[in-house]
Amino acid sequence: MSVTADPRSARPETAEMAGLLDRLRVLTAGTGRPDLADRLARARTRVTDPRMRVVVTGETGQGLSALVDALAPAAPGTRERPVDDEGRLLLVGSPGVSGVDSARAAAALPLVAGADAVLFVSDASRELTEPEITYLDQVRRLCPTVVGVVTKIDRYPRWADVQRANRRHLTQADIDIPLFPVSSRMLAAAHRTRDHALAIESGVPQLADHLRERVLVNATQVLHAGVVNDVRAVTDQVALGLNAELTALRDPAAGTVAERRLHEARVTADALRDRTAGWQIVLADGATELGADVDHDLRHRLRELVREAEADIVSSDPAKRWEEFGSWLDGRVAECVQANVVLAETRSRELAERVAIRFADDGRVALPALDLGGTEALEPVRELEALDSRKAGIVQRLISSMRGSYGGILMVGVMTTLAGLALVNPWSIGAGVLLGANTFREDRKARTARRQAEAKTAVARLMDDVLFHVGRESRFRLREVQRTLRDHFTALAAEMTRTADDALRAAGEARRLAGEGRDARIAEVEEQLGELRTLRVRAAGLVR
Amino acid sequence: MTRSFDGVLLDNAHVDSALVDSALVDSALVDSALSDSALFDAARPVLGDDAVDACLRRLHAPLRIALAGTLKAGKSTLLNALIGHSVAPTDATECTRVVTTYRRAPAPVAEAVHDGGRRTPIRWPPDGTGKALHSLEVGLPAPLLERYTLVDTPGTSSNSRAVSARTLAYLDPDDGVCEADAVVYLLRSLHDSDLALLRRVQAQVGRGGPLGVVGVLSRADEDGPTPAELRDDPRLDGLPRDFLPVSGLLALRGRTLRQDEFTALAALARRPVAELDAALVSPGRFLAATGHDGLLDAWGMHGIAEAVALVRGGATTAPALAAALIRRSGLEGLTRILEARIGERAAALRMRAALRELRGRLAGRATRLVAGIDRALADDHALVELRTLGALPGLTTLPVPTRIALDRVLGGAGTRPTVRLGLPAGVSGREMHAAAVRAAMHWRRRLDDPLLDPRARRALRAAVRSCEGVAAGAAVRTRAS
Repeated sequence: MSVTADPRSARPETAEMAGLLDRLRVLTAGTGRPDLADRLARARTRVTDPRMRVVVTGETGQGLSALVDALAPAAPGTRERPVDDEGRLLLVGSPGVSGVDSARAAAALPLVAGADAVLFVSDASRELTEPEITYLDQVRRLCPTVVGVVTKIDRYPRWADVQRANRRHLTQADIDIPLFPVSSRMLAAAHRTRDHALAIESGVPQLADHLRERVLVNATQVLHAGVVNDVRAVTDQVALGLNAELTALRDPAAGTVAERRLHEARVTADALRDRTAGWQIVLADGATELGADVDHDLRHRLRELVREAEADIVSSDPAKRWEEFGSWLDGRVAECVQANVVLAETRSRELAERVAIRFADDGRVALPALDLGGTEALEPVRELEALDSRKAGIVQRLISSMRGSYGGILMVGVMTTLAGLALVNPWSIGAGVLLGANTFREDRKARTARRQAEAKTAVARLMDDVLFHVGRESRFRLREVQRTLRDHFTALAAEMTRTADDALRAAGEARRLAGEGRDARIAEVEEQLGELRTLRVRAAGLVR
Repeated sequence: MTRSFDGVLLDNAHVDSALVDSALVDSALVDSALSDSALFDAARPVLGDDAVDACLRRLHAPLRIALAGTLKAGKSTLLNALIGHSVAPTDATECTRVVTTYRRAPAPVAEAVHDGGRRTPIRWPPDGTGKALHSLEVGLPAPLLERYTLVDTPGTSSNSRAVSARTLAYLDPDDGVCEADAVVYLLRSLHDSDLALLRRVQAQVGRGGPLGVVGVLSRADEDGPTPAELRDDPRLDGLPRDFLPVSGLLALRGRTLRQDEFTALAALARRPVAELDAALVSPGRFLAATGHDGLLDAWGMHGIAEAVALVRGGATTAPALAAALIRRSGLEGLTRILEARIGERAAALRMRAALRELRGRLAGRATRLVAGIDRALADDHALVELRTLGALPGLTTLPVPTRIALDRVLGGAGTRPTVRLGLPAGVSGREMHAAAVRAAMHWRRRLDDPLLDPRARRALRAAVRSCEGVAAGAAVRTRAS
């Protein structure tokens, strides 16, 4: 489930933030920087529409839908349902997964990656299982805000023991998330009987509060912090130009001070250019490395899997349990692909951060949203093919052993005819039986070996296919990531260069200005700078 | 509660005797068993009494039934319910960590089997499990264990891979097949891990492994799929689809109901409905209102609510409540199907095992006797029926109504001729003969279909043979009367 905010019911700080951004945009546009003004407009859209998506996930049959109904009683049946009155927090039900090694779990992961928070649901009838822990670990890596929910506490008197066991398992797996015991049935009963105390005992209001106060507020804060970052960057850049102009205006006589200031402005601009010049190399190198790493990771995982599968094939006759082997292999392939996607996601973020450092030492630069979604690559490519020589007919096996015994009879029979015996005599028959049995045995061994070889080829072909499809999807996605990063940082670099150039130009122009025009301009620039400072301080004040 | 009530087990003998007596051996089986025992007598001069008696002991070895399923599916609770005592430890968190065998013994005994086969006596219930432990064996003087040896397996998708691996090693060993004669598979909702394990067990049916898989839908609460949903689930193609809803907890509480528990439950039932409903909303509320924490621990919220409803519905004595709980739990349905599928054929299956051993000991001697044994072993129709029944869910080329009809005629619901042919109980020998011949002709006609795949053809042929067997038995009876 996800939660989104509605501009109709904007909160005070949101309204203030929006007003502030509007004012700053007018100011920025006035100084001839439409590019920065656009950036502020985008930030404003983000602030006024801060809908948070909370995805609810967990295994099937754990009370997912009942929990969604309890948390978001309004608008039943819709996919995204609001938890709070303002509609800022939207719950999105994901299809229940059934074991982490399943294709359905893989399908839920992209939904999780795009979420602001994830509710992981497991009921109180049993502790967390190993597949659940593995899934939770992947979820946590894709979405930093995960909240655990233990449902159905009205039915299991020992839920506290289960909760303790869950905590133990989570600690062991090094997963630190809050766990909320809830019961949607208790909440329903509380609504029926208007029993406020029971509603509190159900744990649902606490969970809703946590979502509203911690998760929503946290996410809003992260969003606001990002916007304040934007404000800081924009005010810095606008102020740089204004300051340079002001210095030139104040000392028109081309005095040494002004010369020095102008020189300083030039140095600053050059430094900025130098700093940003390297980013394209960082990105290009990083992207190549990222692609190679992700590809290598996938190949490595699949190679390990092939090794495991081959060991399994060699250990017995593969025809006996081929279908079951196929489903096992499908599950393991899905697991490998999932782990690979998680790696690609985390490494892409790291790359974005690495590039961002080229723009500001503290990396406090807006990062683009990276969408690694798309589940196509995660679905099984195709089935493992059937084995041709699945079953050898008994007739065929008999014929081949007859062939063997025929040779035996002939061989020994011919020799014994020299001793005056008939061609078919006890000796030649004995040799025929021995050789026949031998052929029969050899034949069976050869068949098993052939089936094993066939099975290995089938596995290798499937892996080739997986590598081809998944590799292609993954390369496509990574190219998309690179393009997003390039566009984002190109715009950022262009902004910064333009700021430096503007500062030089403004300073140069200012020196040519004289008389009253200059005084008026000084007052104007000073006023603008003052307002920029105020806006900046106010924006900083909005983030606690 | 007075002390004298504590620990007094109500008379559950009727349940046990029902389980044991329902092995109604039909006359045909007794006939063949008699001639088979003549074979054993004939072997006495050759092998000596000791060796023959050792073979005959096989006749009394119980059948092995394994309980399998995912973590916390209620395997141990169901096992306790079947035995009628709380033997297997159960807890809110994962509890069964090694494969545990429950067999009959004159006095309670527990042994740990270490890797390598060494056995050491242990205290029961075990406290913590050793690293190198292979399995546990518990001997108990319980009537059900005379007929069945029960095997409790740890849940798959456990918290530790090692525990799941132990279950897999038992149910689908790398070398050979599962040693259980039947597998009872419990699930609470259908997950991919369930499907994978069911497939692995089903794959061994008819290959010398288990003779069938009996599905149980473990009803711990009202959630989860219904049996009808499971029957229509496409993921179960080729796997057993009939999942019997059984609540192991209700059955166990019914079978071990104590007078003090009944008194407490009856007192609860006497409370005003609204007051009790308010208390049953949550464990906390229930404790605050009644203080029965022992009851809550053993019965759970669902169990208390069900028991109170039964008391209000007229189960006003402890034995009546016990019987009502067992009825409500669906346990009888499970034991009935176990009896119909495995139990009623137990005599034939055991006889085969004993004869095979006798034949092995006779190797090379008394050729005429061996020929007689081979003749007896050649009639393996009971085994063929069982294998066909086990493989029926996989015969997807046959339409569902045909598969249901095959299940009945092959003795899936019981081996009595009237059950197989769907005739009323008191039918005359002549009518039965006519019905059996008609049925045999019906199935033989179906064999003419040129598009039948070999497995379906085998199943239809087995049905013809079963009908002919019933017809022959009926003819013998008609002539005798």
